[in-house]
Amino acid sequence: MDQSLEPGDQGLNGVAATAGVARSARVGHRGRVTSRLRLWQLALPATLFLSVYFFAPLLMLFWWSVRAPEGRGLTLGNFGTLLSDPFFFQTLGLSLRLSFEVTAVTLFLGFPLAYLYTKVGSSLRLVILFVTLLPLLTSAVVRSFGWIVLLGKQGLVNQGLMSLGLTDSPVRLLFSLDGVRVALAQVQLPFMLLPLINALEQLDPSLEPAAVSLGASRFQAVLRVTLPLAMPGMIAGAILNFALTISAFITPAMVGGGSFIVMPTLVYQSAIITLQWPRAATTALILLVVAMAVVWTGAAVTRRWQYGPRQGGANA
Amino acid sequence: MPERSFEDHGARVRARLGDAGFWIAIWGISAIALVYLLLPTLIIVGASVTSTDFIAFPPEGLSLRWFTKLWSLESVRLAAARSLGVALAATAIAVVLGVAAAFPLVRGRFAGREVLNTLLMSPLVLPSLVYGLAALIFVSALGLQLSIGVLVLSHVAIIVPYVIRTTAASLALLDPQLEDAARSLGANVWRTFLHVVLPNLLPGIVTGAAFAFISSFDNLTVSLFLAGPRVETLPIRLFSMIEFDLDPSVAAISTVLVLITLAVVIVAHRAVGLTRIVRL
Amino acid sequence: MSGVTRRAVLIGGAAGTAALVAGRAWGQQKELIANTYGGGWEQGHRQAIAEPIEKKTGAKVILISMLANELVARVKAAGGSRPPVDVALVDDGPFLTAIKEEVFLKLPMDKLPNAAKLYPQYKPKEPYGIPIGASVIGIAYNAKKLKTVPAAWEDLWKPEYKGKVGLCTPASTLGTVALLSFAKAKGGGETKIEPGFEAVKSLLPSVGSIASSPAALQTLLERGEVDIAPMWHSNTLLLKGKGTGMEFVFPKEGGIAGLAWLAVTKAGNLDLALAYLNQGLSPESQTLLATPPFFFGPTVQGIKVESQLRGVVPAAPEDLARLIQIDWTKINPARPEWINRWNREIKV
Repeated sequence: MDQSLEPGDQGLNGVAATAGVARSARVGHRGRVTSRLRLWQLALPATLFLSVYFFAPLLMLFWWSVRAPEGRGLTLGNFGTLLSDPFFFQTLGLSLRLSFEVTAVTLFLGFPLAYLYTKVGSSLRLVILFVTLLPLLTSAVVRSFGWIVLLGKQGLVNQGLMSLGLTDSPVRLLFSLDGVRVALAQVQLPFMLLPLINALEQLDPSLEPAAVSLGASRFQAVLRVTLPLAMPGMIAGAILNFALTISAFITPAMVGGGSFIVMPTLVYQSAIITLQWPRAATTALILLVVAMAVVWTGAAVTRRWQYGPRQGGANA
Repeated sequence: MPERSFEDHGARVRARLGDAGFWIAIWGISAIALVYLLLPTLIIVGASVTSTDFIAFPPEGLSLRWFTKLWSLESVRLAAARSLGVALAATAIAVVLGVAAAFPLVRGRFAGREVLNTLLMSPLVLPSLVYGLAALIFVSALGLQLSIGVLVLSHVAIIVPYVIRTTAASLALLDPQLEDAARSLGANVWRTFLHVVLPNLLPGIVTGAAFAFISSFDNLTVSLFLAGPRVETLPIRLFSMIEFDLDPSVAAISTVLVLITLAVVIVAHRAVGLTRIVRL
Repeated sequence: MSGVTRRAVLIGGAAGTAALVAGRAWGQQKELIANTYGGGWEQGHRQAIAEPIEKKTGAKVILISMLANELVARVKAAGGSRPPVDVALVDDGPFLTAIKEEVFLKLPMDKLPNAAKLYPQYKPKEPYGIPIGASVIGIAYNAKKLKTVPAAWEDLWKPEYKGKVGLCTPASTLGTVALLSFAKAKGGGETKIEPGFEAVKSLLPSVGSIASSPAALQTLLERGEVDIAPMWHSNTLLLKGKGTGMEFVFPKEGGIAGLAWLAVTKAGNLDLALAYLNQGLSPESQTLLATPPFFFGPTVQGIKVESQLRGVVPAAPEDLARLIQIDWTKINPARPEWINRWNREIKV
């Protein structure tokens, strides 16, 4: 989940360059102090803004989830109450299963396309990028609506199934778990493709042909060389995607219908419909913790993958 | 390089077939993925030109009447105007905050730069559902009314990382010696910024602003929590229409949204090139 | 502070303040927000009430879609700050809840001249709202697709309807009434809802989809996702008018009566809101709402309903009196639990 600018960065300046800027800036505006002092201050507006309008709300959310009822101090009891409720637990399980399945599908569909991207010429690359970016930037409402039209009893999918003779009466795809799976996977696929393309692009392009020339089939080369090397980036993309999928509200709400309940639905219902904000806060926190747990596990797995069980350069 | 050595002709053929099979699989799955990606969007656009009273795909008869009807739907016009206003305001603020913040992230060498980077990028990582709820509780606790201003600021929070990221990427490519040169020729910080730095940053800023704009315009999750019935944005109106009032005009509105997104993608491509955006 | 920082803070502060000020200014144009239940309700209220009001007063009327139960909850939650709507459209049940929780304004009836013509049987005991339309709940079925005509609630279990039945959750009046009707058919009632839930669970194999609102259920019927469902007469007749083949039948146990009410929240612009209510009671508005494609039973005396519709559309209080009256005072306290239980236990 590398949002940092550092790894593989194009041309981050060396110390000398910065020092050069620092030196010449001393003669700058109002003859002020070193640019280093002024430099971090440029981040102040954004940092202050986010502190007030992003982090403070999150802290407040956390506080509401641990507040004891009737304001008698802090407690973890709210979490216990929710987690011991069988329906809540069931919903959490459904969310987890659904997100794993969708992430797996997006990995399966995304890898070949990302791999192809690294092998084709620039015009085809542009096509792939375009087809990836357009849904990515289109509102989830619009995309889910497309699936509502597609999955209905008179929709294209059912029409196709019937004309292929696979079924003689329309199958209920809309407002079902299957429908949500299909729709959600499509909504999340672009989010998986970008990290995958990134991961594959950064590999040394001579490694795979080298393996092939040493006698491996293309498939073996990909399996044994490309895939393992791309794995850290792939895992990073997968866990990011998982976090997005498990917290997706719109697609399950629209394609799943009113009876289809996942964790985000519970958050929305308690917050907006039944107006039980402490409950909503606790549910949201549980969702966040679960998502973060997967993220950290994935990061740990990645580290293990990269560096192996032995850390450091001990003898074999 | 040593050539492949095979024991017999059969193994060579099997290898070729294996490779062919591999490429067929790759191309095949990729084609499926591409169609899968585009399908819902194409369906909507197709359904918007139907002449029937109800949603149909394939469309029965072609007609643009659902588009012309859009203009007369006052609630849709209002919601669209509101979304546009919110997105423009949020993008403007995000650009000011984000461009400034990009500098220390790229050029700075202070302790805590990594922490700062993580902090500023965190809205991208945090589920917007959680943030929407948090902002709602926060705003109410402060005693503020839910209003357009509150909505704009919440959008700024979630879109500013886009601006930071693309601006920083552009900035990282900018040779600081250019600025040194300008400075040594007597230009002060502001003039250097305006005439040397900014023009080179513009592609990154424009791309970031485009992404920020469309993210705000399209946003539903956060808006559902923070916008009330008095501050209905276009995605909210769409969401409500799909539940309460479904007819092809919903497809028409969606098509218009898709066209706007298309425009954004083209702007981003012109500014920076899609292949570079991928690397962000 | 260095110059840059000061500038940055000033810019940031100015932008934030501008955003908040613009928001407040935007919100104070002369406008009225009202809710409807979407679909025919929204179209009807826009044509019959909102547009005339806009012409008369120059104000902007914005109609949003929200069910009565949720609306009352949200208005109540707004507490001291601005409620989400100025004028509320609510059904009998939520209306009673709202009166009890003092959510709506007591109406100055002298400022509503058209209210003098209300049918006396429809006049509210306490003037917290005015009745705007009368409706009936029965069974909607697609006569073009289904051969068997349903005659009672238990007919929904017939094998011909397998997979084609639609239901609504108790988040709506329709769903609540349907659940109660099932309970009553199996020996239960307002205080004994268990048979109702058992009935719904046993019906699930026949159920095609469950919608959260009558408008959504109407769309399902229109698109053929379901072909038979408990439904309001107005939605059914609207669909029939579109040529779908939908027909409305009264179950043998009897149809269920319902009134829709307009009320005013404790927000700004009382005069505008009262003008809106008055317009709703005007003969032009009531006539428009009683005709196709809206079909709402008039609440004001002297409105003609077409003779061919009189069997279905409740043209006068006598038509409603013949139907089953629901005791919402018994349902309202239990309803949140019904909704919760439905969420947990009923899955298609």
